[in-house]
This record gives sequence, structure tokens and C-alpha cells, in this order.
Amino acid sequence: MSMAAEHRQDRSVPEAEFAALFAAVRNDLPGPAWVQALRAEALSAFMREGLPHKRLERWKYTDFRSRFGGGLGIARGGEGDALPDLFDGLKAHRVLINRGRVERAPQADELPDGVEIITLADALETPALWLRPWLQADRSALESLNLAFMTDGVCIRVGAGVRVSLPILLHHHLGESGLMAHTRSVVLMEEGSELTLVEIDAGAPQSQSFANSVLAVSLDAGARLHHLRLGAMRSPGLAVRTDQAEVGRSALYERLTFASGAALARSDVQVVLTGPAATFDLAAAYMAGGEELNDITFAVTHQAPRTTSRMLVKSVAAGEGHAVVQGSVTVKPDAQKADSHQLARGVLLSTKAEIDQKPELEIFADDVKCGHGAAIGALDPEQMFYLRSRGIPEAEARSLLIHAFVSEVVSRLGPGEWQSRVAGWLDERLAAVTGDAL
Amino acid sequence: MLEIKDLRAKVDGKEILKGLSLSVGEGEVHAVMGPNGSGKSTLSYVLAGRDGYDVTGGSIRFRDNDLLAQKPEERAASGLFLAMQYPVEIPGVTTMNFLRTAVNEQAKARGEPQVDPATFLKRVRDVAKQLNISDAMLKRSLNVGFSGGEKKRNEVLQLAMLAPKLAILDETDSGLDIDALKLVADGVNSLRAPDRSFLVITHYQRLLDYIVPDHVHVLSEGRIVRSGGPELARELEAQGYERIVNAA
Repeated sequence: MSMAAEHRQDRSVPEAEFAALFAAVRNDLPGPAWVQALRAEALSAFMREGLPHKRLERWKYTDFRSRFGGGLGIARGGEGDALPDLFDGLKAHRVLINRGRVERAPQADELPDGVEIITLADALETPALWLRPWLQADRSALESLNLAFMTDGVCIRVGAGVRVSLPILLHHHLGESGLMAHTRSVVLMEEGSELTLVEIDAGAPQSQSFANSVLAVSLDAGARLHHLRLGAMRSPGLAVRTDQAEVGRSALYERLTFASGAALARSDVQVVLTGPAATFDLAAAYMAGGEELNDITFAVTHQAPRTTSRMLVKSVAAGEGHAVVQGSVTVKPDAQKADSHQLARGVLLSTKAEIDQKPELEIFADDVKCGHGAAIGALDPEQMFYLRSRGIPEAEARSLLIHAFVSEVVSRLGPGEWQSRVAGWLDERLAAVTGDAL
Repeated sequence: MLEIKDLRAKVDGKEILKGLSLSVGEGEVHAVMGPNGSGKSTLSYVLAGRDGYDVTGGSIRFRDNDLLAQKPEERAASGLFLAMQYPVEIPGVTTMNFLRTAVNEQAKARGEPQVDPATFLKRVRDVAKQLNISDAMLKRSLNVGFSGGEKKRNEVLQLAMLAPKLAILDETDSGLDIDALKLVADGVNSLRAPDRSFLVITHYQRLLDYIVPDHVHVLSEGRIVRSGGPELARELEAQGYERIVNAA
């Protein structure tokens, strides 16, 4: 499976390795001439920029280049080895994207009327004019890399007025060492439609791998997308997620993100509120232990009047873990009465842990309400003493307080089995990051 | 039950307790009264084991253990409870979850079985009802958005559920109006028992009208300067601390 071995280059120039790899595999990647041309263009764009590194402002705290080991081959499907996902047994329309290929997806007759799921690999074989706006080569280095090597993903379309009652669940799995997966998915929601999208990024522990996924979201007027993403890749795996969303008039993009366990997990969320009264609502919780790095970098652009954005990020760093929260909000001149608030809070559980929070605000309209807050600290000693004075031992008291800290994000899921699965997973992660690392 | 001998303690390098001795027997209610800055809160925090309170001399025996060698959670499990003057708000931890965790952790530490959830729930509700604490409050985050009175009632609820051998009430009367005070005092009185002692720390005599002590001690500049019966509290109220302290 490992194609990379044959093409291994000087490690000091990982970009050259990608060029050689591209030359070797390009003819095996899906898509006719127009896609091939796009791929070549994307590779050139990537080669110009190179892997992101800490001298770039957006990657200041996350030196991807130094953490990227190289020597990885392109995952293009293969024997199934994915474990059941965290939400196994819960009702959903399930898609399994294993080793970079869609291994399982609901058939048309299993989906409600007005909902379409096709694989990216299939879509690329057609003229796919509707898809092309979402395949741009010049956005960011890792996104270009994704475009050059993209193997598969799903295109989900929800018709006007269709409210999908069951969630669509995308389970991304990359469990084998020595591979990288470049997958790309698109969610297009027509006017007044509603969908819950659940994504799990999973991998096997001890697997040297890199998952580089792109998701494009387009919400027409009044559409509502409830999006839960659980980043559960395991160290030493790397996971980079780039999300682009365009939110139309009175549409809602509601986003919940949890991540813990990867050696490096970066979530790059770019949201443009294009229509009046569009809303973006993000809540995220991160736990970094060991030598893990968890990064969420979001950029929200208010383009239209009366648009709203809310961002809440809670990070926990233990051991030598590192959490990064960079949030930038831009309010364009036309976005009068824009309302934005971002809040980042971090808890440091050890002296070697690190949390960096950088909120930014750029306002070009004069009648807006924008704010941000950021706080980092240890657990509150008064709260610790209060709990211990009631007979709750130190470790349990600490765990109770960390639970309480992230509960504000978890509770957004609403009571029920989905919430308890996520809470259970966070329990395990909490035990793992605090177990030996405090 | 509790034997404090020649206790000395520093806070921020400053000696606050300067040789305090006090003995509380089983089932007794003792009141410690004193003006601001006399060391009342320091005494309660030293007993509960809070960080930042440096014991530089003396000893404390509690139920035949060296209290000062124990962690706060061990002190709690061996039967010590401090009702705090300023109960701490803990967003995200419900009162109910907190109570259950505390009761079960104490049981675990003592080698007792975990409390049956249904029995526990019923007990909490019964006691809460007596204290006029609603179900909604039990489901809310601990002390978050509670009024001063609600926080103090919540302390008494914890006291009832944890059933300690020694309960220290640190200025439990502060910030309470008369109705709230009565409610809290009734709650405490209903918990008086032959095997349970109380140390009531207060500035004012008012609370002692409702929780009548067996012994009253006057604390001044880190030492007990006078001890007596309940009449001493009334004497203090009538004459003020200055005369009593100076006379001692």
C-alpha cells in the first residue's frame, strides 16, 4: 500500500516529496481532463506556498511543517478495517470514508425524498458544473494539497424545504500507518432546508498518518445546518480540517466541535455570512494532553446587514499539551447592525502545558455590536477547596471541575443518547490526558 | 471530639492565631464569638485544611486523629464539615450531582457501601423541602445565581446529607434576614444529636438566640480570652467586645 517508499526524497524538502508523489499517482486519481488540470494547478499553488509553518501569522502557534514527518503514501481505499463509530447503534444515514475512499454510503432509496448523496469520485467523472465553485486551487496551501490529491468524499444536496429528520453521519477513518488521506466533501442546502450533519474523524493509535479534509458548505436562504464534528484521530496521527461555509439570508450554521487525541489537530473554519440576518454559532471544546496540539482557527466575515456570529471555545491543556485558539471576525462596510461575540477560555492543568488565544476584530461598518473575551487560568483553588472540604478527593474534584468547564459546550447537544456518547468520549479523553500527565 | 491545643497559624506571613486552645465534647454546641480580625475565619479554614493557612505551632486532635496531618477530603470523610461564610459558585456542576458525589466519596473513604440512588434522591428531596429548597434549585449549578439566603440554606442541606460528627458554622448568619435566619437555625437544630457537635462561629449574638450553645468563647487577637455559658453571649451583646476583651 505504501507508495511513498519508492518516491522518498530528501526529508528537508517535504514539498519536493509531494511533487514526486503527484507525478507518480496523478493518473490513478479520479476525474477527467478538467479535474486533472485543476489538480496540476493546485499542486503548483501548493509548491509556491509550501507546507504551513510558524512564520505565517495564521500558523504562528502551530508549526505544521516541523511536525510533519513526511514519507507518507496516498490512501486510496482498500480492505475495510474501520471500527464501529462512537455513535454506533444510533439512527443515522451513515457514510463510511475509509482510507480516503467512500466505502459505504446510503443508496438513493434509503434516503428521504429531496436528499442526494453522491461520492466525490463519481461527481468528478461528470461535468459537475455545480461543484466547480467549490474546487478552487488558490485558497491555502493544505487546501491546494487536498485538491491536488483528493481521492473521494461526498456531495450532499438537500432540496428546498426538505427537513431531514435523521442525521447524516460521515465517519472518516484512517487507521493505517504510512498513509495520508485527502478527502473533500460538499454540503449544499437549498432554501429552507434543514439537516443535522455529524462527522467523526477517527484513526488508530500509534498510526503515523495524516488526514487532510476539506468541507464546503453552502446554505441558501433560511436553511439550517446543525453540524457536530468529533475529532478523534489518535497520536501520532495528524489531522487538518478546512471548512468553508457560505451562509445565506436568515440561514443558520450551528457548529459544535470536540477534538482530542491527535498529535496535531488543526481546524480551520472559514465562514462568510453572505445574506442579511445570517447566523453562525460555534461552540468547541478541546483537550490536549501528552504532547498533543489542538488548534482551532476561525475566520468569520460579516458581509450582510444584521448578521450574527457567536463563538465559544473551551480548551483544556495537560501534560505538555498545547491548545491554540485564533479567532478573527471581519465586519464589511455593508454589514450594518452586525452582532458578533467570541469567547475563548482555557484551563491549564500543568506547568508545561500551553494555551494560546488570539481574538481579532476588524470592523468596517459603523453600527455594529462586536466583542471578544479571552481567559486562561488554572482550576480555581477556591472551587477545588470547596469540593475537597466536602470529601471529594483531589483527582475527582479536578475531574468534576473540568467536566463543568466543558459542560457548557456538551450541553448544546441537548439531552439524549448523542450527548451521552460525546460526554462518555470526553470522559475517556479526560482520563487519558490527565492520567499520567499532570 | 475536638481538642485544639495552643494553635498558632499564619496567613501571608502574618500570625493570626496565637496560641488558641479549645475543647469540644461529643454532642456539645460551642459558640466562638469575636470581633472582626480576631481570627474566626482563620480558625475555621485551618480546621478544614485550606491551603495558604500555615500552622506554625500547636496541635488539633479530632476523633483521635491528628487532624493537621489529614487532607481536606480526609477530614471531611472522618466527620468534619465546614459551612462556609461565602459558599463557592461552581457553574456546570449541579447541586444534586455534587451532593451525590460528596456522599459517595465519603462513603468510599470510610469503606461503606455506596448510597442507593433512589434512597438518596428521596432523602435529598425531604431535607430540601424542610429548608424550602426547590427541585429546580437542586438541578441548577451549585450556588450559581443563588441568593445569599439560598446559599446558606444549601450549606445546611449539605450538612444534613453529609451528617458530620462536627459541624463548623462560619458566620452562617451573615447576610441573612430574620426569616432566612430562622429557617437555617431550624435546619441546624433539627440536626443536633448526642453524637454530633457544633462549633458556631459568629460576630453577633443574634444567631445564638436560635441555636442555643452550651458554651460560649470569646476570641480576641488569635486566642480564646474568655469562656462561659450562653449568658456570655448576651453579656457581649449588651456591653460590646471591647469591655469584655479588656477585662480579660
